Amino acid sequence: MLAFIRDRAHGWFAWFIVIILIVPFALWGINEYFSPEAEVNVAVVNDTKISSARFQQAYQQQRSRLQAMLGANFDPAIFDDKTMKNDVLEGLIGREVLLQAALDAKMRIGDMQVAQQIRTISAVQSEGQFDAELYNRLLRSQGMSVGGFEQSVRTDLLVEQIRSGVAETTFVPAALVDALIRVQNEQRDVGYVVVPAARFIEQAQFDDQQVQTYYEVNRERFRTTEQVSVDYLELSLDTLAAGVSVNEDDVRASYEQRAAEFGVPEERRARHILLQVGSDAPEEEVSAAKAKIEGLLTQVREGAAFEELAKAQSQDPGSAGDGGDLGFFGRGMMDRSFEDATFALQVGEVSEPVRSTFGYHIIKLEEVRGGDLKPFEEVRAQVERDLKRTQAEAQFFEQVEQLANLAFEHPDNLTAAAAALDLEVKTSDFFTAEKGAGIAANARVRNAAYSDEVLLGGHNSELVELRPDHIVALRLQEHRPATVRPLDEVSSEIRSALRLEFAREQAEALGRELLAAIEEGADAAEVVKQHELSWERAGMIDRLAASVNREVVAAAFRAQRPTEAKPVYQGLALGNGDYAVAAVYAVQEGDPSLADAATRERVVKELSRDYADAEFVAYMNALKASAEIKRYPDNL
Amino acid sequence: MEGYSSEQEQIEAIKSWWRQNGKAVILGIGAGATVIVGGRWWMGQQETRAELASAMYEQVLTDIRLNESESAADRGARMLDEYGATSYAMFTALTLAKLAVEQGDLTMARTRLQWVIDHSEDAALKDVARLRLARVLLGEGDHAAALAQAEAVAGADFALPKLELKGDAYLALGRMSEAHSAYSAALAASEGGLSRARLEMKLDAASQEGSS
Repeated sequence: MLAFIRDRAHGWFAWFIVIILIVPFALWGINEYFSPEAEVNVAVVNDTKISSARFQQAYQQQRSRLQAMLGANFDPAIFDDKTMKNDVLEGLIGREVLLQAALDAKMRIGDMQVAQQIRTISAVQSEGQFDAELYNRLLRSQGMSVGGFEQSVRTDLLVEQIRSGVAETTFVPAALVDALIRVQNEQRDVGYVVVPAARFIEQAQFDDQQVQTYYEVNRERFRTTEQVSVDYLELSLDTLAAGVSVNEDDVRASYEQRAAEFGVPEERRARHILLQVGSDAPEEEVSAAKAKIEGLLTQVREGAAFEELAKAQSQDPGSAGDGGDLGFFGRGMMDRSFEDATFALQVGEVSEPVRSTFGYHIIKLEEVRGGDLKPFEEVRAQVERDLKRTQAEAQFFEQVEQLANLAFEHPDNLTAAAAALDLEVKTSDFFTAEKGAGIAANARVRNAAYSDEVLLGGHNSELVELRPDHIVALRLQEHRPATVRPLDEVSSEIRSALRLEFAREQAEALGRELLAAIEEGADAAEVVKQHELSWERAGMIDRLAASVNREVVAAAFRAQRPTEAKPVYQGLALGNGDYAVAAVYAVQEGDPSLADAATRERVVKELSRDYADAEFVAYMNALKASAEIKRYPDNL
Repeated sequence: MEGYSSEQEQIEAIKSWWRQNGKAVILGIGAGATVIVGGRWWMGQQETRAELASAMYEQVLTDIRLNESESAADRGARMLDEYGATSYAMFTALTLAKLAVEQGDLTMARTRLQWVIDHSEDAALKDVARLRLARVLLGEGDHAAALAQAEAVAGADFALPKLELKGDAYLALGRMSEAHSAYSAALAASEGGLSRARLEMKLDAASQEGSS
């Protein structure tokens, strides 16, 4: 056989086979070179990709967290901002780096630990106990598999282990607390004088030429910021939804469809004993059955076991064998009068005889579960609003598309689009590129208004999405370019600026003179008195002393230490134009033994938080530095 | 294949080759299989061991949460014996060091942290332990040793806590100008972090005596 193949392996047949084989081998996988990469990544950490989808999810979570935290103060515009996206990205990268480090270091979470963790989640507990059925149902409703969820729990636990292992094992020895208290509670003996600028204001003299010069030199200070106002058309899902009318039945149907969101309906487990009586049975049969069931009820009341009695006497073939147990059922599953009787009972209670279409029952309620379903009336408004929004959605997206087309086809006006869509052209107030009110509070609106297309080209903007359900198209209404305000308008401003400047210089000159004299060895109180000022001897003050000017306190604590022989003097220009001369006579460090327990506790808390933060950040950065991380900011 | 003229000859050749090498081949396959099976078993053992270490570590943390420090210390010590080479042992040692400091036993804290420095394979974790060891030494009043330990922190990412610690050590040693420059450098590295206000205060405290 081998010989046969060898003989035939020459000649055209063999070549034919080889060529046929070459084609698929050569072209195999060539499509990989042409089709774009299906998955978009925001970063790659070592070999693990962080997908754009995962980033978006984390970003949205962060947004809603902030939204929940800030409530009405939440301004969507500030979250377009790059910093927040970067923070979210760095967070994801950090988590991935920690996870990889943990896995590399052979850290593992066993099944037991995962199970323990899941059991503590309150959402999967009923009556304080883990409920496997509820757990499975909840996962299904979130579209998650059990395996996938457990893997994510495992990962979370692992990351938390390594995080807390570094961040929560830090400590603060008592000596470091003492050291900080010595610094924090330091006191300094301070004296000072403030030379007020106000006393020189009236002496200020200057002519128009000086005003003119000041104006020329400081032109930029009088420049106004560029402003625009825009005309705009607004589409909002809420507005459209308000115009939709829905009938009561649809609202109710929608409520029933969404019942799972509003809680679990109540279910009850009951036992019963049935004596069958047809609804058209003759009178004597009915009264015989009634008498008998009353007899059974008396037996139960006197202590007979309901289960045993049901086994022996019940004529319900389905349940008699189980001691009358019907298992759990909700409303709408049983005969109406039977149901009403059951739902009126307390657990353990036995009903009076009940007549249903099947006959006479006595019922014993065993157990109740669920029942936190919000009634229709309570959630009616929400259901109706959601339903209206859903119904308006199609119209909304259609109008959005129309608006996009019309605004593009008629770039020189919004009236065409307004007429076609029956919208009103609104006009905004003036706003700058950085700040505005109304729709201009949104950064995207401001960006669109200041885009070349709108500002220079005078065209309509592309659609601007304030929120996914709130869209505007805008065009320039009026442009106020940045200008320098004329001299007439600002001359009084200039005059007061010049006066203040003069006074500041005078105050400083006098202050320096005083400082020089005091440093020469003159008595401070005497020297300043000659200028109708008074030397304030504040005495020992701490860093938070409220009785002394804040700038003077800060400078006094920044100053060098005085020697026994000589205090330390300094002069400082204050923010309001005054000039202060200050002396530090002595430094007394804080005494830790005087600090009370609350103070110590606060210091320990602050230090351990800062140490933990600094150490963990450093640890994380070290891990990041040794990982190979590629970031794709364009995909954010 | 040109060397054989018939199928018979080829079969003969294969047979004689097998007679010569058969044992070696079977032995090789057997050895290979053993290595694979053994390797898998060994890896499984490692996974189990890691999971056990993890559970035991969590138990130590639970002891501490429940304020059962004695039990935590016992279990922790066993952990270091049994799982000496694992990350969990390192985290346990760090936890025990914290426990010891809270109980005022700085000597024990020092032993635990030194153990991490000696045994960890994670350079960054070693630096964390060095920082903490330096703080313990400051707590014991051994300022020079604290300074040396802070100097030993190697990672560039640890500059901020390292510089603050060096400042603390210099300040305690009364070497004001060195404390001043360490705190200045820490402030420069802090980039508006949580600790700025504290660093500024310490910087003031490290100011020297002067006359202007």
